This record gives sequence, structure tokens and C-alpha cells, in this order.
Amino acid sequence: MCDRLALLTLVALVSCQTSLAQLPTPELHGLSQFIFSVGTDSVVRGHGSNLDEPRGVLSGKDGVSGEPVQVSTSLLADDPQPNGEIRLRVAADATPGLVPLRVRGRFGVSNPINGLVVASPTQVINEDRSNVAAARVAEPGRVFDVKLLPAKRTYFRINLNKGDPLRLAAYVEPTVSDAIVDCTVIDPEGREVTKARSTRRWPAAVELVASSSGAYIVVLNDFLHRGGDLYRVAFEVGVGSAPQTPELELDRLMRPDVDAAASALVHDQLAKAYSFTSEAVPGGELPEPIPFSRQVDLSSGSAEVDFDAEAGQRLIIEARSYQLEQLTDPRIDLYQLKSESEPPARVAQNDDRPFIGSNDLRVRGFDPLLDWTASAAGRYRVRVSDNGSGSSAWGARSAIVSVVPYEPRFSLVAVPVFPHKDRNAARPFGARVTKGGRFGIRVLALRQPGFGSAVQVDAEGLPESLRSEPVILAPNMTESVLTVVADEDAAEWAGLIRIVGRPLNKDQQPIVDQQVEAHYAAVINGKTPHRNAIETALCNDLAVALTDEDLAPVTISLGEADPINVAQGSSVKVPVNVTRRAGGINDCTLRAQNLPPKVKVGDVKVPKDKSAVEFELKIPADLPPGPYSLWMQAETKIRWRRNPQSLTRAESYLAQLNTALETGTPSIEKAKLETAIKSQTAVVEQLKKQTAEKDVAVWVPTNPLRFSVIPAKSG
Amino acid sequence: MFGPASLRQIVFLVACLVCVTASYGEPTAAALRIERPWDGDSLVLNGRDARHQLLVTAIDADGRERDVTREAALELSTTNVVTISPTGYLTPVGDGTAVLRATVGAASTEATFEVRGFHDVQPISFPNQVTPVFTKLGCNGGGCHGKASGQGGFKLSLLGFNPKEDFDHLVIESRGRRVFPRLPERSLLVEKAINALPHGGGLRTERDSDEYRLLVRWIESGMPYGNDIDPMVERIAVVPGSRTLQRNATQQLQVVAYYSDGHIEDITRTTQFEVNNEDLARVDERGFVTLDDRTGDVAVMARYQGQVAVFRATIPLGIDVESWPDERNLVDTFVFNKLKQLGMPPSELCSDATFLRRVTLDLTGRLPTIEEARTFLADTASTKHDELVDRLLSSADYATYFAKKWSAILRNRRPSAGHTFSSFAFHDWLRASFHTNKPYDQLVREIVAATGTVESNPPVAWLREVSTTEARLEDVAQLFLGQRIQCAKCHHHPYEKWSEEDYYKMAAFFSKVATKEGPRPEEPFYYSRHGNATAKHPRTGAVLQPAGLSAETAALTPEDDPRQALVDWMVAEDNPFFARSLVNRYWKHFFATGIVEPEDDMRATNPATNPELLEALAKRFADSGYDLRELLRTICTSTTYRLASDGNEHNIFESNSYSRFYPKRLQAEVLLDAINVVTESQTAFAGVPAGTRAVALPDTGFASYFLDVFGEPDSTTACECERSGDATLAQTLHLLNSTEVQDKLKHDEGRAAKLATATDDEANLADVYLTMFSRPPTNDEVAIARDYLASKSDDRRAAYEDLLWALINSKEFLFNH
Repeated sequence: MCDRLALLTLVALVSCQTSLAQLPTPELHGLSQFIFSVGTDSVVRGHGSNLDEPRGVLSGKDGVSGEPVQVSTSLLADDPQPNGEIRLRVAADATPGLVPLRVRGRFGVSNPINGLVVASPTQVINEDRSNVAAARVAEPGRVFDVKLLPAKRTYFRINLNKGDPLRLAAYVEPTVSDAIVDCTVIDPEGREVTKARSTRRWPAAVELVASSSGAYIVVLNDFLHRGGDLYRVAFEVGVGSAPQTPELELDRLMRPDVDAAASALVHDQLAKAYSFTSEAVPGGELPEPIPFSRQVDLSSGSAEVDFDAEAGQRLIIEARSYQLEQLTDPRIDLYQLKSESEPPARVAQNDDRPFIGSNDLRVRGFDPLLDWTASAAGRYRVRVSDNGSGSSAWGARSAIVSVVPYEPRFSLVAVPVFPHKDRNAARPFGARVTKGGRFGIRVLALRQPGFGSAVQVDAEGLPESLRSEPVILAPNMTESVLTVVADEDAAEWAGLIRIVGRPLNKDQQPIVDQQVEAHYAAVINGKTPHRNAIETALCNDLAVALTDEDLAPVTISLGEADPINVAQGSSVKVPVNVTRRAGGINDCTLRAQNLPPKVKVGDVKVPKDKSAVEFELKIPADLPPGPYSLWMQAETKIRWRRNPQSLTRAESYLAQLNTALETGTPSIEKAKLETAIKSQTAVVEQLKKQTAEKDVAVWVPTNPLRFSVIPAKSG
Repeated sequence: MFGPASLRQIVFLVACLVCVTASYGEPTAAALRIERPWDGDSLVLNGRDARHQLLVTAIDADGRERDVTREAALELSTTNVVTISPTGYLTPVGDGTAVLRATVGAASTEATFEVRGFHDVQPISFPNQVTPVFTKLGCNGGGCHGKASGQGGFKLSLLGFNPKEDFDHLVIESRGRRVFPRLPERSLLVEKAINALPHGGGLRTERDSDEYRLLVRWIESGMPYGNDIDPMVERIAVVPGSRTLQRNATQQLQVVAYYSDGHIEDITRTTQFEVNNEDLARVDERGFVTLDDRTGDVAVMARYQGQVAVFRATIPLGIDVESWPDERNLVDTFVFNKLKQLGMPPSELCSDATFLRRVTLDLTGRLPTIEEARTFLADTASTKHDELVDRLLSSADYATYFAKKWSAILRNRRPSAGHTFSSFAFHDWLRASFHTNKPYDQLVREIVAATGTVESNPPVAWLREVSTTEARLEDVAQLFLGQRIQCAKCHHHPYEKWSEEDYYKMAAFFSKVATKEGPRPEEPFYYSRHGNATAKHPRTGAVLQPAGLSAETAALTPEDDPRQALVDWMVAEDNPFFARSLVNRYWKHFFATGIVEPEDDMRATNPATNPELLEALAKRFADSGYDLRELLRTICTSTTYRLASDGNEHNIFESNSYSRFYPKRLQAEVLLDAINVVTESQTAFAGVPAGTRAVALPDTGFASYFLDVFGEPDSTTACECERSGDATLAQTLHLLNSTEVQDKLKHDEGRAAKLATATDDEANLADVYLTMFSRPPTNDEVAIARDYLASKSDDRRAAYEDLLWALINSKEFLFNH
């Protein structure tokens, strides 16, 4: 028992490897199980970093919850302790579908990844089935959670009668998984019948009618022959009664569907945040009356929709396809139809919208949008064509074409700030606010052409011990960072919060009835030697965890509570206050971020023996009047110990063991005690190293400094 | 004193002597003909610079024609009009008319020559008259002044393809110091040419030669360039175009140029000649061809001012073959026709075992299994060969093997780990294309006009690897049209009619290919941008519209992807390149030698050895809807494909008429897989499942010394020549001594270990021979093997290892034969 405790602790220590470039937050890279049946409990383990002492799961779906698995490991008392695993409970009435899961632990709450809740019974396949003799029978009606193994193939067997219609599909977890499923079907004569490969959210899917009776073999492997827990595949087989093709639960839950719009927490669908028009409605007679939103099929390469416009009518013409997870890259050409004898005259075109963001949060505008005003009344034709001629077997080339009257709109994307000076170092990042500390949330404003208001962005849904520090996105700014700050006496909390943007009116007051809730995003994959891009996904919500076991070593605040007024062409001194606590002993260098155009602020240094300095904020004479904000990222080195409480607990247990040995405990053999002491001593020594005080470079956000630029006095 | 082998040699020599004697015994000419390359009562020579190469042809009683120009007695009615040299070269000496009589034996014929304007001052055209002199004398060759940097400070355009530039270099550059109109004979140009002044190129022509006189006269007359309205050479022709000749025969060629104003000139002496096979023939600067004592086909290329024409000679062996194998399809019809023309008896049919092994290796890149061998050998059905071909063509192994073949020449590579998906996906797409028998025109269209990302459309991997406009058009031309037009990027193609303009018109098809961000940095999105498709001529600056080779400009709108138009032109029924190129490429896959060789250099000056066969196969291929399996089926079910590789006494040295099967060394991957099968071992390739065959590897990025040493290509070019089929000492040593092969032989789970534990040696040997050669061992082979095994009865495993080692190193194993 004692050995087991030591082993568990060591496992925890090994899994606690962390970068020394920042304070740890939980990074979840995968779970040991991907699929969960309704009405079942499953024990899972997270893969990732800083997942110490898991305390549960934050789920994005009702009826899905998780709690730590506890086992009693003490020789001295029945004292169950978390063993690092989580019992995931899926209620019988939980709705099947993808469910974002975050692991809560000692260092906060992790980034989300998807689990899949299904109504069908499931079977986890972790074992090696890499030869035909070991093929698992794939019963229809069951969903398999298959762990692909590196450089191995996994074999399944399906018994079919001649003429049986078969459909099988293998999906991958759509967020973090790198897996690309390669699926091969071999007939009873040993001939390869067909092959399929998954693409993004589209499955490796096969439909066929059995040409002979007997055992068909299905071979699954990663297309690049990788494997492990991060290469899990959802696999389902359906055998119909001729001529009906069977339906699969996985198709209903996982297959991208334009009508149902795209799911959140899917890699590379940030473009959804770029959409300003409504969902599709069934197509009517041409020409379509404005406004309309119609689904078209791009399988032949293009589709056309006609409409009538009035002279001077300003319209937003949009084609959404890529953002709906179609395997397309649409472009729009707009033609005026003059007469039957004249060829249509092209009057406007658009391919891509500007890409917004940076390497770690890239909103890719592959779907086109036209802000167009009709110069003459008449009939017009929108031609949507696909720049890509890729052949996909799944009809994954639909688009929604919308033509709506112009209306200035905006949308927001919010993502937790990865605390590092180099955005290219961004990794899957959990959320954690320490007592007295501050947590940054990056917000991007995506503006429809013509939307010219400043936007105030705020966080809502916070507990009392957390306060939001709103940020202003001026009309000429795209992004900034808002912060939430925790009280020094705050109690532990974890939950979902909302980020809301409101346009400001002329009096710089938020217009509440035009408020927009942000789309939320998370970094799901950082750069690795084999991945040259940071991958970010939309998710349903934004979680924050406040941990009460640590106090922020440094908290830095800019300005005062009220916004500063500063005239064009003038300057103002801005106070910087540093609150130092245990470990916050070094110089801090502050670098201004997300500055308004032409505003320059040099680095601000706060020596280690000072807690207050000032910097000068110079406002160019031509900076338009209005509300603005900036924030600063402070780089410093703190003296820090990683989870010192774990050492205290381990030392306490070791002391109890020693006492028991010295005093003699009749119920425990001396030899067992000695063995336990030896193991626990090793654990303590290991923890001493692990929790030893060290200097760590950290980057901490300040609050946003809000200031209003007022017109310069004439004369 | 003489063994049977020696006796066979003597018989063969006697037979050859008989043939040689027969070829020297010329028949009596029944009639003579003086070739008249232009119509009219008389052959007209305009001006003193005109020349004419006489060509006298004898028609023998059996209808065969032969050149007797130098043999005929030539008699002129007057010597005041023309003179004639012993080689039949006519030079004007005054205005008037002369009748020339040619006599050979009892046969004679006449022709009338008229010289006009002898005393007139004939204007000289620099492009039409002076530039060809530079080409003829070798001044503007790639090794001399024609190279990009020129030579000795003097530059000419390669082979005179840019006369305007040459004129400027000669007359204007260096303040005109190369020509002295006041003393033309002292011009640097002519003094260097006759080596009167030190000249790195030495003596190029004699003083008072025709060329010398022309150059002097040109300088004397003030170095005119000529006029824009001067006629241009539209084409040239060689007379005769083709002829069947006896070994050791000779043939005078006559070359005429057809000008844009309709006039025709003899240009024989200013034409450059080149023979394509110097083992068979030689040609001198006067167009006089001398054959050697060998059988086959030879071509002589004539080049003049960017125009080329070819003389083809067939040199038959002349054996009277009494019986021919069955003609099963068009392949046999045209191959046997050619062999009949050559008088070349084909080899016998190969054995069933050889056929099984041959066709399995050729179609699937693997050895037949023991079960396949046993079944096939036991099958008595007459249809079994055709059924085998069909079975192999429908197998996944066929798709895998041909995906490997195409993957290499489509440059499917993995320059970094980040490109692994791209490489694997393209290979997988190719494999699926062959497995579903995608029509070839569709396959090519999907590659050449690919858009999207490699994730949704893997053939864009080709665009990624072949990343420039120039490389794309060059690869398309070489891969799918059999045309190497790289030369025309910088200068007119020296052996073809393709100019820089042709090159850049083709380049314009790719001018709209653009990229934008894809899902990953290594996987950009390819598309065709809107706008006009054009390319700029780098020298003239002309903006060129897209056009196929020798084709009209494509009519395109700004919305069109010009690559679609390119493929439309390529796959059109009347495209002279597309089907022929593929047919020739696939022919070579089976027969080791292309109908045109090399297979991707098809041009007028590199003629097919059997053009009728090439034409018929190409037509069949196009008519089938570019059905690749049907083409392979046609080839593999022909009798020609079933001929034995053993030569008979007549065809043992024959190498391009397909009278026998030409053995091929197993390709690197095929050989490695075969050794693995024989030794029952595996080769581990990093990152793919154990047991993955080498031919199934998606690209050539897997480290393997074996594959390297046996010539696996790097996939860096579109040329199949990158794959080496040569046999080298390193290969021999690797098979004999390498740890890799020895470990396979000694593997505890390997075949040798298993055989050693089995007691029935005869059954063991049968299995081994069936595995390796698809045949049972002969009695002699069994006896030798049993003796050896008995001699090492104390270590049977080592004995079997030795046996396998010896057989692996046999030519029968290493070659597909």
C-alpha cells in the first residue's frame, strides 16, 4: 500500500513537468477515453502538464460531471486521497453530442477538449489488435473508442451477407487530436475493396454493398502511423437491410452539417466569429427577395442565386462555407444581368476577408463578404465558386449565400492570454487567478465594414471576490486585453464567465441593447517540432479558476480608478503601483501593449526597491478624440515554490510513519512500516527538489488603463 | 578439338559470312532516277552562290532502291554552265542550260539544269545565308561562341537561332572591329575562321571554300542584314526520308529548304548532320552516310536554321523466317511486321513459370507466391495467361506498385517532417487512382489543374514540390507529352522546333497559379487567380498568351483556369504527344527499352524504332478512353511480351526491335521485398508498420542503404532515368557480404532456420525454387543442392543459409527475364 502511495506521488511528480517561463496552469492534451455512453461512469486520466491533484471536471453540458477518484493509500488510517484519475459521470438523460471538458486541479482549470456522449453502448479498444487473427468483431449499434497504436494497424471483423448494405465511419476528436484515420475494407477473398481517409471533422467513411458473404476485415490506422491516447478514434459500423443504407449515431453527432451550423470547440473554426448574417432558410423561387439566406451546393464548383436590388441599396452579400466546416474556399462574383442578349457584367467580387489576429489567434476569413451598393436598380446574380477542386466523397461542399440590407455590426472573440512575451510560444493554456493576482483575457473585435464605434468589453458572471477591469477598443483598434483581478482574501472558485462588448455612443456610454457576447477560443495545440503552427479553436464558454493556495507575488496597476482625460497633442503622467508579496523581489519591466495608433510608450522599469513610478503618456495631436485603453505586460523574476503544500503533506505522513515505528503499532507489521518509510522518504526527497524555491521569469498583465482623448484647445 | 559451343560459333560465323557476301553482291540496276526535289522541266540554280547535291537512285529489279550517286558515270552536255564534283556536287559557272546524264551499267537517266543570274549581284541575307554558315562550321555551338557567356569575348546565339543578335555582335559590338568592309579578307571574322590569326577553335574552313567566299562577299557588300520581307525557311526535307539499306551500304543525302515565298533551295552543304546511333552509321559534313556491318534502325538528323528533318535507315538482317508466333493483338502485328522487315526471327515463347514471374513482377512489383505458382503451373486452361493478367491488374498490389512508379517522377518527396502528410496523401491518392483505374486523362487533369490544399485534394502536392512556373511546364511537357523543352527556356531547342516563344506560351498556362494560407504552413492553398493568363518573353519582352506546342492560342476569360485549357489541348484526340508519351513510357516499363528512347524525349530527331507500333498503341489507348489497365492488358497479353529472353543466334544482340524479352535487374524496392520474402524476414522502416513492403512506402524518404545502393530515385526530377537500373560492384558486394543480407539469412525466425528443421529436403527445395523462380528445381539443381546439404549435415541451418545466399546471388533471381 505504502509503495503504491509512493508510486502515485512519483507519477504525479513526473506529470508535473512544467516550463519555468511562467507560473503553471493546467494544460490538457487529451483524455484516456474519448467516448462515454449516457448513464455510465468512466474513470479517465488526463494527459498534459500541471494536472496535479485533479479536483473535478468543468463540463459544457448538463448531465456530465467529474470528480476525483480517491483511494486510501495510508498505512495508518482510512484516508482516501485523489489518485490522479477522474470519475466522469454521464447522466442517463444527458444529451448525446460533443461535450467540452476541462479538468480542475491544483493549478486552476485547464483548457477544454472534447468528449463525446453517445446513446449507444460503447467499447474502449486500447489493446493491440494488429493482426487479422486478433480482429475484434465490430457489432453494429456499438460505438468503439479505439486507441490507434503507433506503427500498427487495428483490425475489426464484420460478418456480412451478400447484398448487405454497410456503412462505417471513423471520426477523430475534433479539437486536439492530430489523428487522421485511414480505413481499409478487405473482402472475404482478401481483396482490398476500398479505402477512406478522414479530413478535419469529416470521417473516414465507407458505404458499400457486400459482394459476397463472409467476414469482411476493416483496418484502422493513423494515416501517418502515429498512435497513443491522443490518437483516439470513434468508430461505428452499421449494417442495413437492402436497399436501405444504415444510419450511424456518430454521423448524427459528429458529421458537420450546414443546416445545423458548425459546432464549437472545433479546430480552425474561428472564422465563425466572422459571420454577421443569419442561418440558412429554405430556398425560394428566383429571384430571391431581400433579405435571404440560402444553402447552395458547390459540388460542381459553383452555384448562382439571383436577386433584385434598388438603386442605391446598400447590401451585405456573404457566402459562408469554410466556417461551416465545409472543405471549400468560396469566392463571390456579383454580376448585373442587363438583358438576355448581353452577357452578365461583373460588378464586384470578393475572395477572402482580411485575416485578423496573430499567430496564436488567427481568424481566417476564407469566406467572402461584399459590402456593396447597387448603382442601378435591376437584377443581379451572386455566383459562389469554390477555389478548390478537391474531390470529397461526403458532399462537403455546401455554402450559405446571404444577401441582407447593410447594418453596422461587430463581433468579438475572447481568449485567455498566454502569459509570455513571445506569442509564438503559446500553448494550450488553462485559467488561473491567484489571490491578489490578475488574469488577462484577450479580445478581438471583428467589424463589419462601416462599423465605426468604440466598443467597451467587460467580463460578467464573476463571483464577488473577482472584479472585471473593462477595456475599450477604439474605432481604429482591433484588439486589446481586459483583466479580472482577485481579492487577496478570495476563496477558491471555478466557473464560466461571459465576455460582453457594448458599442459606445457619442457620449461614450455603452449601448446595452446592442451588446454582443464574445465567441470564446482556446489554444489547443502549441508549436512542436512536427507542428509549425499554433492551433486555436472556438469553444462554448470561457472558464476561470481562482486558487486560494497561492498569493500573487506581484500585482501591478496602472493609473487610478477613473479614466484619465488627456488632450490631443499633450501628455499625462500615469502612476504605476506595484504590490509586492512573498517572492516578488525583483525589478519589473513593463511593456505597453495594444497601443492606439501613433501612441508610443517606452518600456517602464520599476526597480526592485520601489513600488511606485510614473510614465509619460504622450498623445499625438492627430489622434482622434474618444475613449481608449492600453495595458502593459510586466516581465519580472519571482522567487517561487511549486505546490509547497504537497511537501508539507508528505512530510507529515512520513512523520506519522516514523512515530508509528517508534511507538509500535500492533496492527501493522514492522517490516511494512519500514518499507513504507523508505518509500515515503524517497517521495519527500523528490518533493523537496520539486518544491524548492527557484527564480522564475513571469509575465503578468496590468489592468487596462482607460483614457479619453479630448480635443486640443484652439489657440 | 571443337566442343558443341565452338561448333555453334562456327556455324553462326559461316551464316554471317553468307549474309555479308550477299549484301556485297549488288544487283544490277534496272532503272535510274535523279532526285528532283522541285517540280519543273529543269532544276534551276539562281546565282553564283547556288549549289546542288545530285542524288542518283538505282531501282533494282526487285524494286529496291539504292544510292548510286558516286557510282554513276556523270556526263554534262556542257561545262560552261555547271561543274560537277566526284561526289555529285554541282557548282554554277555561267548562265545557261546543261543536261546531265547519269549511267550505271545499262541503265541511264538525264536531268536538265539551268543557271540564271550568274553575273548578277545577288543580295545576301544574313539570317538565310550567313548564319547557317556559322552553324555548319560549329562557330555557334554550345561549346564555342554559342554558349551563354560566348567565347573569347565574342558571342553568337546558340546554333544561330537569333540572327539579329548575332548581327549586332558581329557588326556593331566592339565598334565593328570584327569586320573590315574595305579589306574584307582581313576581317577578324574570316581570318579567324581560316586560322590565319590565332583562333582557339582552329581552322573552321579553307580559304576559297564556299563558306569563305560567302563571308567575304557579305562583308564586301557592306554587311547587309537583309530585309524584313526576305523569305524565311518554313521547313526542310531530307531526300530520301527513309530507306531500307544493306549493311555496309552508303547513302548520299540531299537536303532542301522550303521558303516562305515558295522557292526551294538545296542546302545540303550548309546543313548540319548528326547520327543517332554511331554503332550503326556515320555521316560526314556533306551528308554522306556510311553504314557499319550491323542490323537495326538508324536515323540521321539534318538541322538548318531551327528546322530539323530526319533520314531513317532500316538495316535488315535478311533471314528468311518461315514461321512466326501467333499474333494475339496489335502489339504482335506491328512488332512482327518490323521483325519481318528486318528479317529477324523472334525468340521462342517463354515458359509458364517465367511468364508468371515476369508479369507478376512487372505489374505488382512482387514475386508470385508459392500458391500462385503451383496453381498457375498446374492450370491447363489456354486462357490462364490472360486471366492472370486480369487478376493482377485488379489487385491492390498493382495500384501500390504503379503509385510507386508515378510517385517518384511526380517528385513526391518529403523535404521535412512537416511535409509527411503531403507526401503520404499524394501517394495514397495515386494508389487509389490506379486501384479504381481512373482514366489517364482525368488523372493528369487532376494533377496539372489541381486546386485546394493537400488535405482536401492531395495532387496539389505536385504544385508544392514543382513550385515554379517554369518547372511546372517543363515537368508537364516531359511527363505527359514526352517533350524536353527545357532548352527552349533560354534558346531555341537545338534538336526540336521549339522556340523560346513556344516555351513561354506554355508557361502562360501556369501564370495564374497562386497560393494562400492553408491549414498548416507546409500546406498552402493553391488556386487560380482571376485575371489574364500571360507570360513575358524574357528577351523580347513580348507578352505571350497561352498556347500548346504548335497549337493555336487558347481562348480564355479572366475567370478561366488556363490549366484546364492546357489539359483540354493535351488530351484532345489530335494531340500528337499525349497518348504516345504514355504508351511509350509504359512500353519501356515492360520491355526495358522504349519505342522512343529515352522515353521522355520524343522528337522528330529521335524517331521511334517502330513508329507504326507506337501509333497503333497510342490510338488504341486514346480510343479506350485512356484506360490504363486496358493498355497494360494489351501489352501483357501479347505474344511479344511472352517471348523468351534467351536470344537465338540471330537476335542475341538485338536491342530495340523486341524480338526477345530484354531482362531487367529488379528495381531496388522490388529486390529488397523479394529478398525479404525469400528469407522470410522484414526490413524495418521508421514510422510505418512492421512488414510494410518497400514498394508500398509512400515516398523515398525512408533511410535504407539497400535501396540507395540499388538505385532508388530521390524523386527530385521528372525523369525516370533518376532510377538506376545499372548493376554495380557495390550492389554485388552488398548482396554477397553485407550484414543486412546476412542477418536476413540467419534470422532465427527466417526461412533457412525453418527449412533446417524440416526433414524433406526435396520439398524444401521445391518451395525455395517456387518462391524465387516460380518453378520447381531441375533434377540437376536438386542433385547439387542435396549433395551440398549432405556435405553440411552437421549444420543444416548454415547449409540452407548458404543455399539461399547462392540463389539470391544468381542472375535468375536478380533479374526479371
